[in-house]
Amino acid sequence: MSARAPLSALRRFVLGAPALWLLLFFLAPFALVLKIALSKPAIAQPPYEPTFSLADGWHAFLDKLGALSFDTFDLVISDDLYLSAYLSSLRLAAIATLLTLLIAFPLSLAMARAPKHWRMALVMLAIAPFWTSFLIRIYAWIMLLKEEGLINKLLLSLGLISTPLSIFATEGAVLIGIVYSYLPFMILPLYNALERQDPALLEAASDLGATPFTSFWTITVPLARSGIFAGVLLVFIPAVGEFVIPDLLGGSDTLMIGRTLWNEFFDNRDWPTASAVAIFLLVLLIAPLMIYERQQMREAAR
Amino acid sequence: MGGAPLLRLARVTKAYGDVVAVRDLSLDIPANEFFALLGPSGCGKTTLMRLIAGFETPDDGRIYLDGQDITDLPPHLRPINMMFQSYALFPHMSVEQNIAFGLKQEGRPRQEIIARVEDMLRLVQMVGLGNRRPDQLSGGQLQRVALARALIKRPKLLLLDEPLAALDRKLRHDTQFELMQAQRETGTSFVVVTHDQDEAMVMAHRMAVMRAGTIDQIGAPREVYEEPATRHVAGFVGETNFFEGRVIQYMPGGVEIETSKGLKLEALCRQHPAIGAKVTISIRPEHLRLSAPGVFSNNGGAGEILDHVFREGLSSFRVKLDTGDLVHVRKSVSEGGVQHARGERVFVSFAPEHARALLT
Repeated sequence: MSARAPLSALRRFVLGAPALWLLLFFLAPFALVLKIALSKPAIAQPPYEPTFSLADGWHAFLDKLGALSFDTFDLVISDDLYLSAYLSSLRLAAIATLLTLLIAFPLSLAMARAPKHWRMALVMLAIAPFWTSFLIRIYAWIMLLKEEGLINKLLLSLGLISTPLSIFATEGAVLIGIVYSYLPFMILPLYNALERQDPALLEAASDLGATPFTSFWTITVPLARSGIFAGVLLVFIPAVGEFVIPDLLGGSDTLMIGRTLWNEFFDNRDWPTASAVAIFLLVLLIAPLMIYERQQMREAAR
Repeated sequence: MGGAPLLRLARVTKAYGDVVAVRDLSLDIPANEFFALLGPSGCGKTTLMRLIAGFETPDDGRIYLDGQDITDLPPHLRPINMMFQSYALFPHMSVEQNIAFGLKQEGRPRQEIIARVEDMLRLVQMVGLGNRRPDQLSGGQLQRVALARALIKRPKLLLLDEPLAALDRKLRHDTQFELMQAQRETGTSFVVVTHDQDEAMVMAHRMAVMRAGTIDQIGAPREVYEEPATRHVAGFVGETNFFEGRVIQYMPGGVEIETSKGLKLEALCRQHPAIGAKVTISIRPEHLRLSAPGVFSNNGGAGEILDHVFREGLSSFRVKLDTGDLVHVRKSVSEGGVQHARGERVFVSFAPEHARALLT
């Protein structure tokens, strides 16, 4: 620590700003949520105790600290409701992510192989849905999917079905909603990865005797790996905690952790349990992020 | 099959929209030949190579390999391999995996693949570097891996797209000889596409000089250099001096022309231009003589030395003739002879048998 010049004020600010941001808007709220999770529900305002106050003396503070407990965590672990909600969320998010990937890959490939002057326009089209509020677009899906909705009307009038399909208020509707909403988040990183691939690589593979099928699996897909990883995370993580889509498009039996959390918080007014659920969710989602991080490190190490 | 060529292009045409890249082109390449397709950018040489590789299909004409019509065969079914200008090595695979790729597609047994990869690494002097990834290699090493990958399937024909373009000068020089050696050792016919006449002159057994989608001349490098068929070939292959003029009389085996500035010059001519026809005389710099004024007086012109450059054992002079024409004269230093200083008056002349009068 000798030769290093002291950081200039500007550099310190530039380095400190993101740290301050994280502290203020991530760590501090997280500490608050953790504290609530360790409290007990109460019929009060706010609906938990103990509540700390600056007016407390030292002894009162220690007493209150002693009153904190991990009871809510025990409850969340022991009650099957939460476990099945987590599992159901993971399952739905995984299926939705897979579907999104399967739809986004050919779309991204087509975009990346389109003539250069079209590509920017195609990217704009891919993100065009963002111009309309997310909530409004989900409401629109209700109109489309309902028994007397547009899709059923169309299929009935075409004679393809004789009784309306009941898609609305099912897991299917939730999957459609998630796939639709998160598609751009999958397309953009995939497109980015595919567009950078040198077209000569595929010609070389073909020249060496690879069929188009082999070239796809040995060249195109492996080289798009970073894009696939990023896209999968960008879709999977928010999809696990998704609340609006299952709430609006799902049925009463669609169990997702975001909804469970909402119920605990607003219907049961059980803030400590809701907070514990949120913390478990956070831990659950940090795992794939860490895997991604390690993968990136490995890639960079090459 | 007798004397059938390894590769035969029969009246091949390929157009992109209104642009005709290759026009009614025919070409035979025998087995075990080092062949160069030479031409400026946009002359159609790259399109021609892509047609042979199968990345493009001709609008008209057929392509035969060993007598078999391969015109409609997709690239992965053609026994032809290609070394790409950018090398196009697979960045996510090691050197070994890159080289083995072609054999894996053939479904060869593992042991055979390993042995043949090892052979290839030896051929391109990359033994021990098989586990590296492309981004850990130098430009010269990348070029060798690309060559090994393209040769491992023992193709009948190897296409090389500007194989030396990405290398620096020194490396380019060494690599030329390595490519020639690889061609001899494998017995594969090499077709090199290049815009660099030096490369073609050094490496090729025969070369085709292309212009605007057609071949101006095919021949051994020396033949093309000494007997250029067209003005384009004379100017593109090697350095030359041009004199444009009209035919004023026939000479034995040649013509005499008069330039617009009144110079009267004789040259051999393989064609039969009419009296008064416009022709161009091409004379190589090494065939021009410099002499003191008054010694010679015909087939040349008087002028003044503009400048003098010495390079690689050769003295190059630029001489401005009194008619305004600028000519390059080159003399080997070992020839000795008189040195000429800047501003010196000289007479520049040449023997008619060294010059060629060209119609087009």
